[in-house]
Amino acid sequence: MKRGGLGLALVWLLSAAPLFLPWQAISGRDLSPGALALLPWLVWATLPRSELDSRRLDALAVWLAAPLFVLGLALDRARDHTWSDSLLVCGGAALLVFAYAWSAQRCARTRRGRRIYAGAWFALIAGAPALRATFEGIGGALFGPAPVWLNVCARPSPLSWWHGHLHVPASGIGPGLPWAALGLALVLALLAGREQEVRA
Amino acid sequence: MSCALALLLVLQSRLAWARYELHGPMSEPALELVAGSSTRLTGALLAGEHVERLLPVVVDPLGSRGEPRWTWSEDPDRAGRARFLGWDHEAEMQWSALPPGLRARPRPPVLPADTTPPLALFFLLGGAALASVGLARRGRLAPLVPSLAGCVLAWWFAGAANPGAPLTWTVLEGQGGDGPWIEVRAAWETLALPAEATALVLASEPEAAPISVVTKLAHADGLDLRAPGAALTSSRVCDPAPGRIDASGQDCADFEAVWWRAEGEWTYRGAWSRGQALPAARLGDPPPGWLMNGLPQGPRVCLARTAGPNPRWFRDLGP
Repeated sequence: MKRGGLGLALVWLLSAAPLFLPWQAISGRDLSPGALALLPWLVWATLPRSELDSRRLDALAVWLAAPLFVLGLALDRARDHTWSDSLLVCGGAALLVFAYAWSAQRCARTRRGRRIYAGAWFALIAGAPALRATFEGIGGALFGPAPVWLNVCARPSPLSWWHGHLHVPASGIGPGLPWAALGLALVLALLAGREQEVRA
Repeated sequence: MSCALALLLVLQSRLAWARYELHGPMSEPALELVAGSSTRLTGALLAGEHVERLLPVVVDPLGSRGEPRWTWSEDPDRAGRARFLGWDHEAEMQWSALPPGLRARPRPPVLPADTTPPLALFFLLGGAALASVGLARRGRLAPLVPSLAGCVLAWWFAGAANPGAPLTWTVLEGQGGDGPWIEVRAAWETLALPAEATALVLASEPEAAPISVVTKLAHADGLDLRAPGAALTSSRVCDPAPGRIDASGQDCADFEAVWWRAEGEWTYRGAWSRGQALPAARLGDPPPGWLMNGLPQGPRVCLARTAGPNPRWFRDLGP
């Protein structure tokens, strides 16, 4: 509980700090402070759980994150982002936080679920988007664009959806809901649930 | 020298005017001359309908000026057409006829609204978080109260920092008693110009920022300008002039604050109502730097500001 509590405090600080930085001067007005504030919560929610992890921390995280979510939404609105853009970006990220916290908790109940979730976390949730970002950022000049299979693997990651919606489109085209990422969370939870039924 | 300066100022305008004849069917036509910048006309023309319009075109002030490209929708048979009738130079001529000193005055300091919340909110939210942690042992819903308080504080502070509608600077520039006045409107990213305040000259900072213009197709109307990440400044001749200003009285507006320069000395005069004589000098703030910079030495200067959340600024040079 103590280690988990410290982790939660760190997540709160990482989430709150960017909201108080003068992003207006650093970046354009299209940056979504709400999405930026939700990244630490999203990373924390997707992390694989152990069997012993307390569920009280997850319940407490909701109360800690709520004011920062509201502040992020208000700052999005203050930047002249439309209600639909702000709600879809912040709401989509918040939905992913809930979905992955639930999926990680559910997978933590069984040994097979924990193994599946940990593998999926390394391969799909964090690994594929990180590898794709490395290809596009550093390796792009040497190897060209990221291969198609890597793009396909990275697409259902909640971090890919977050990265794609960090900047609200200025053209007025609204962002889409994270269906692929929600689907992945559901599939992982279902895989863990089947194991439980078999064992029962 | 003055002709060269005038020509330079004319060439710096990001907006030119082109005369077009548009024949339907077409819907939401848009024209583009400079990549990234466009003029979109809201509305539609049916088959057989046509309209002749003088349209604003965003140009590269230092680039060559060709014929804009058109796109539109709802024309399956490709029967709609846009006929270019030529560029209209009336605005440029009207602008270049003004005294060069009047056109070359410093622009208002347009900056994006600062949306960064105050640091005090960080500590207030931190306090709410600690209270939530402290109350968590009393039950699952016990942290609800400090969390909700944090939400209200966050919304209120960010709402208070939000200036609401984007600030539009309005500066009225006068020169020489009965001489012409110009009105300068400036704003960050978005600038709405009503039909009676159409720009003679449009400037952007950065100079090459893409600008999109939206206006109506059916008839001449106001312009909605948008330039992401840029300041927009529009200037036009103020007709009729707002009034006359001299020490015996003024009939421009009720000023909230006035700064007066006579014989090289600046004095603060406080509020100055319409029709009253110039108030006596008193202690007060110095004039804003952007308003007093770049003025010629010698003539009498009156700088003034009206009241309200979106005040009008006056900068008048006497003879």
